[in-house]
Amino acid sequence: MTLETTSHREVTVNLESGLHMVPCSRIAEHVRDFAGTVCIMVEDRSVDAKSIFDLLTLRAPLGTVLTIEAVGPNSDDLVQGLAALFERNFEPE
Amino acid sequence: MKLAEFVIEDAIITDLTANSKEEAIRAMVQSLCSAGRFATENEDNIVAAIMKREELGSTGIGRGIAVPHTKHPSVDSLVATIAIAKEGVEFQSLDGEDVYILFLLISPPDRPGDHLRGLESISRHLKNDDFCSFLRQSKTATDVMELLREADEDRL
Repeated sequence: MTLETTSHREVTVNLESGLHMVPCSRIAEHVRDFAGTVCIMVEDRSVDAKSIFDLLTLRAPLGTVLTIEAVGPNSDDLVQGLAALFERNFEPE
Repeated sequence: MKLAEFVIEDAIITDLTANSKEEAIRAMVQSLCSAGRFATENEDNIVAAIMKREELGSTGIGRGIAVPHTKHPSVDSLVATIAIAKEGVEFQSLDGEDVYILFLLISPPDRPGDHLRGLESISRHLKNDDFCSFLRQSKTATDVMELLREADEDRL
């Protein structure tokens, strides 16, 4: 049985244009099949990372620090994968 | 950022018919050009820039909605238009469905913040089923602008 866990991670937006539609699409695609919930938070706002519409409302320019929170099976792996996307500026591996 | 501040009423198309993504985008860009938002000589270049952006991934983001966009030096502030396609347009959307509502944005290259605020505003309202439904039923540009103002004032 896979245990449901909660994982957090802070990431920084390093894109000159901020978190625009391409990175938002990549995030939604990355978390789509995760059997749990994933939120991305900034200040007092929290959005569902599975929804591109929600992600686009983050309005996160260059330098914004976001917190990722995943709840579900292997949440650590999911969060690490998302953080890696941010670290390589959403470029393919 | 309020929708009515950057959507150009004279460029709204409430009866778009297009056989392809490029046709839809071209019609919207032409409409913004006819509304005087940039010189005709920039039209092809803007269409090409938007189509190039589509190669990175379709801006058909699901729920029958597409938000094609680009940055372009021919505009000095964020401008947008809306098209409603009653028959739908094949847009290679993320969910594979046709699109019925299109928001096309052009922003100045040196104003990434405005682009993000515009996207935020559009997405926030497009999450509202009533907004989408009323938009699809709009028959004139005046109807659309009235709806945008109601949305901007949280009256929906």
